[in-house]
Amino acid sequence: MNTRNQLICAHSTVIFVFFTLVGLVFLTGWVPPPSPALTAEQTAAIFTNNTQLRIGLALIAFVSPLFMGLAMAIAAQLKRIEGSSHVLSNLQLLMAAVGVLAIQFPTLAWLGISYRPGLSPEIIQTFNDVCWFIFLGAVSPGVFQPLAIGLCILGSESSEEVYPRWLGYGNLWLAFLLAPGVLIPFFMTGPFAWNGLFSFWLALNVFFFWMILNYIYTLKAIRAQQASEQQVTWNRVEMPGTVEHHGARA
Amino acid sequence: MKTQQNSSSVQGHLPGEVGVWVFILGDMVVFSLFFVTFIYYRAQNVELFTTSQEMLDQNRGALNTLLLLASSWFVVLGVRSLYQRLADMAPKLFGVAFFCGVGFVLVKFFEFREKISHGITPTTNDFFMYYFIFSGIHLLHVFIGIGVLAFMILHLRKHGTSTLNMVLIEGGASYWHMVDLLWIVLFPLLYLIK
Repeated sequence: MNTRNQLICAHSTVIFVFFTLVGLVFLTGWVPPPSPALTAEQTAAIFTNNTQLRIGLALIAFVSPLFMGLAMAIAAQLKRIEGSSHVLSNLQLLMAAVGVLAIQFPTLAWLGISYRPGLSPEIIQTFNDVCWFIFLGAVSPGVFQPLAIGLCILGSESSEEVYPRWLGYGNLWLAFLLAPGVLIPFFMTGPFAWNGLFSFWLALNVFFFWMILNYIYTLKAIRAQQASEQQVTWNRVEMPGTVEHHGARA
Repeated sequence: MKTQQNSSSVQGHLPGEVGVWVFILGDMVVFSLFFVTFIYYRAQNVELFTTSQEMLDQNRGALNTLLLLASSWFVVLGVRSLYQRLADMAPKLFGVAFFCGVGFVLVKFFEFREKISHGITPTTNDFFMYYFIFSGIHLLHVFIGIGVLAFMILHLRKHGTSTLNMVLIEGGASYWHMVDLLWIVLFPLLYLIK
């Protein structure tokens, strides 16, 4: 029974990825994002009378907590590795929760600057800067979550392999790939600006790749758990017969 | 018992475990992307990049290259000594490698400090942005590598040769070689390329 709820959590990843991409690619049209080097007036123009943008932002804000679904399913599987003191699985869960806020806050603040007409362009520009710093620059939860997952997989001492060990190293690597986001507040142009090669293109691809990779292997882990639990129940049904056979041992 | 599995398969032996190579090759892909980015932006403004490059201290760069090469060599000797059943030597050799790594960090520290005291920071121009960021990210790898070497030494001290996990030792050694290799590309790219 436990595994069915885990599957519900894990599959919410699909909804998260699909609607976030719809919001980002089709509704806001922010792939790539507007340049940090735009003037205040140019930036303000993006947020004036842009209903499609507002719908996109509201959609991204709404589906963002579904990110917790994958984190929860991963936590359930990591607990099989860690046993009763499951600190790393809880740590990655909390990192995911902080990560959700790093999506919700900027999307709602963007909605805020497109809410009233006639705001001064400087205010819009400053808010927009802060929003990007959080949306793509607040990468630390995105770094520490895969780090916790990776360390947990690699530290496994149980005989049963819940996740393959290479996925542990893979998580460590993906954590490292997201790290250049901390440089976003220091650059307006080039590969480390919020629309740059490392801060945007690499980070965006890595993030979704990381989600899909962990989604696939979490599904495999849940199915393996399901199979082993069914076997246990099957053995229990068989018990009366086996007791007679091995009566001497009991 | 993993020691036996490893030494028996001499043909096509992969040092460490497969997972370590996911990390190492992955990391090398990212650094390749860094290098290509650098070359691309250098081509846009060759003059700025060459004049800025002349302000770098090539001797320090060369010294650091020597330190890392020596360090890698001692790691190789250390791993080899374990296979030749000269296990007492291994922690000492890894120790020398460890101090070469620390030496690299010290040289880098003085180099950065000198640059910053002369008012040269990542915001000075594009060249110094790449110089600080790429060598900074590499330095982070050196820090992790020094930690890995320390872990290898502690593991040897604790386990001796009886329950020694060679997969762990080889994985750590491979990581340290990668740190060395990345610097060997980064050094000419930042300091020497004309």
